Amino acid sequence: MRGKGGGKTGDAPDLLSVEGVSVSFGKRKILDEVSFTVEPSSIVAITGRSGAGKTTLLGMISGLMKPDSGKVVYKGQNILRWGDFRRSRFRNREIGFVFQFFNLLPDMTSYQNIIYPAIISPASRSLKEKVDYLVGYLGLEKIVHQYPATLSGGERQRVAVARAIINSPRIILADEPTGNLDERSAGDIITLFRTLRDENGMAIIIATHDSRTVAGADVHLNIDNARLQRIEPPERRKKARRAR
Amino acid sequence: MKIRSGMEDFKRNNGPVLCGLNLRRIFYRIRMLTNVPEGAIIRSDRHGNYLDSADCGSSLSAAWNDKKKMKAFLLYVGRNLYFSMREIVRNILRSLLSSFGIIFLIAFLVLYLSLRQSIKEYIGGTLFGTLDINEIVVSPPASGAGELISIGGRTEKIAPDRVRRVRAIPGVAMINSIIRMEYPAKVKLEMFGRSVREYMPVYGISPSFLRKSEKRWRSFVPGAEVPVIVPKFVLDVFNNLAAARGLPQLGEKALWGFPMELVIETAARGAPERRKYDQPARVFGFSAELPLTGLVVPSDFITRFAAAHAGDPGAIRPGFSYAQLVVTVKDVKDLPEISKRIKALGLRVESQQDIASKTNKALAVIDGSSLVIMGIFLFLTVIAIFNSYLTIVYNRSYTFSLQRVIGVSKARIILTFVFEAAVIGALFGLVGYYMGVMAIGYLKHNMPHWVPVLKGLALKSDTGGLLPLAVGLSALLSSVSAFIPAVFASNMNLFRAVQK
Repeated sequence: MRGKGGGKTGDAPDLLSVEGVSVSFGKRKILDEVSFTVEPSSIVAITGRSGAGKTTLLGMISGLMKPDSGKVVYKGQNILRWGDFRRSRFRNREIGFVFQFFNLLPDMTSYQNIIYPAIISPASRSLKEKVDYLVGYLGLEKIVHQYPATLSGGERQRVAVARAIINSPRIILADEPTGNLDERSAGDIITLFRTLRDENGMAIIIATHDSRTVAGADVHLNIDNARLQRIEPPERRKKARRAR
Repeated sequence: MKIRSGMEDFKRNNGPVLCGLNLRRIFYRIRMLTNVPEGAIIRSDRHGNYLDSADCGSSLSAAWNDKKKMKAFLLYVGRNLYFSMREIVRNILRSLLSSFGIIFLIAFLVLYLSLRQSIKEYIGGTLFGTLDINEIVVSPPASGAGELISIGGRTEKIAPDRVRRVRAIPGVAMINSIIRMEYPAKVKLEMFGRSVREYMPVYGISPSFLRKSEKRWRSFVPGAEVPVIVPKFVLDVFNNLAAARGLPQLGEKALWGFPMELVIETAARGAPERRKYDQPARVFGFSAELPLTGLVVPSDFITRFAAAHAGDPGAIRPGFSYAQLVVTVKDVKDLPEISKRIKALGLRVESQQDIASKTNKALAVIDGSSLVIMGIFLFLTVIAIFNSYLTIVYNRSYTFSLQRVIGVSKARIILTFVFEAAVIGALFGLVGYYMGVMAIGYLKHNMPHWVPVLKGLALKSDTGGLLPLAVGLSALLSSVSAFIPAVFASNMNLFRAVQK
């Protein structure tokens, strides 16, 4: 991963790169010439004040929003030039979303929420097994047939994570995933992200204010006055990263 | 050497064919619509690792040939349908309110089409009569020529010399005349202990003229009892009169064989010396074909009666006049020329084409007014549905936005929403259809009591053929109304919506 002007920190090829992205809402500049790359098996934390443009940046990466200028390159292709159909497919298969307010569909059970992105994309014969595996993996057995309204915040977020990874995406975009959780649940989610990074090779991009999340990230980017700055991690984390 | 058939080549190149349908191409279309990637029915291995399309088989034919993958695809379609139907059921109450107007629109449409058909038959059969292609109806010159509805109940008459001149036109095969008795005649009925006496015109026609009439009427010979045929129109008027006098209305069954007396006065009404003759009569039948406003008896009875009483003091002479002639021409080709010559005699001519034109004129008035009503209904319904679906879209904005975030394309959101609207529309079309049928049944039963003159209007309850039209139109209307809201739904500000 490298931020603007930063050197490459690992040997892995880039999974995604944001190149010179600028966004304005009216006269207000939200992002100004933002560039960075994301490697597989990495956690990227994006910080910044409220309204700094973190969520907007996630929107650009997922292809949900279009910048005024710049590129978002995935596997060598600028996703912003794709049509809606292809970008939707990209979001469905390559990206998983986790939100601060969980954003589960309230009229569906946990099981249905988890399976929903998979039924949008073609069904696998092993879909049920896959959901069962995730349910077991995330410890959702007891709540799998409950509706979101009856779940705790931590449980809802775990269901949201299960939904995000049901299609085995390469990137997870998390918008304040721990913002609405107690300390312990937040810790569980961060651990879960690390596991996904280490065992499944996923890249996780987190927009956050939580210092613990930032501390667990491989890369820390901060948006200030529409500009992206890379914050160098402490030396011990660099070492841990290299060792991995 | 084996020669391959064209179909074999086609199968080799395009895949299996069933009943003339190219299954591979259909499968491909369905796959495109439902977002299945090419050659990627299964895209994760057992560890959940992503597999590229190439890993899963390079072509659709591989998927096609693999029954298990086909099963997975069907499962996928099934699951999607399940979720679509689930959304429909979940929002059925909301949609019910939004599509409520459809029910009334379709019910009105069914009712209108049934009414239209009935009125068409009523006008064609009862008011204008039915003519064969080689027949012309000749009427006296009327002051109201060109009116929409003309009935042979006027006081105008065709002079006997004109009848002779018409008869003399070359190409005329036969003339059946409808004569009107000039003597004032009262109909005397005993009903429910009350005696009813009313002046009523009496017409005479040749027994052979009514081809489908009662056998006994056709073989009528002057006797003690005069057989009477009651035109439907007269029956309706009679029932109107009965309703006004508080008497029960009678149908054909009740009046069949009903005895009555014709009280015929040989002098004009108000003449100082008038002789009255009571003539027993009996209802022998009913006719929807005779466009007459009085009772119909055999013409022999009138001519013989006139001959027998020509010497009465103050007697009207000759006692009858020609009200209408039905001219049969030998060759249909001569019909325009004969019509022209009859018109030159100052008489009115009406052929089948004229009747069709009048019927169409009458129907145009009915259609025009109905279309205006339906147009208003349609406009209000579409606006109501549009508005309601727009509200539904905003209420479901969270769901739509989330769907977009997790990878549902705009086209798919529009299709799903329009599909939901179409299913709801079809359902309400069905309800509207049966409401229309019920309304027909209700009107059929009650309309003769409300408007007795319309007793002869037989509403068509056999509207089975309208069912697909009602359901299809309703589904189309609902989908079209939901289309723009669906476009709004697909263009939600996603992040703003999911951050709510």
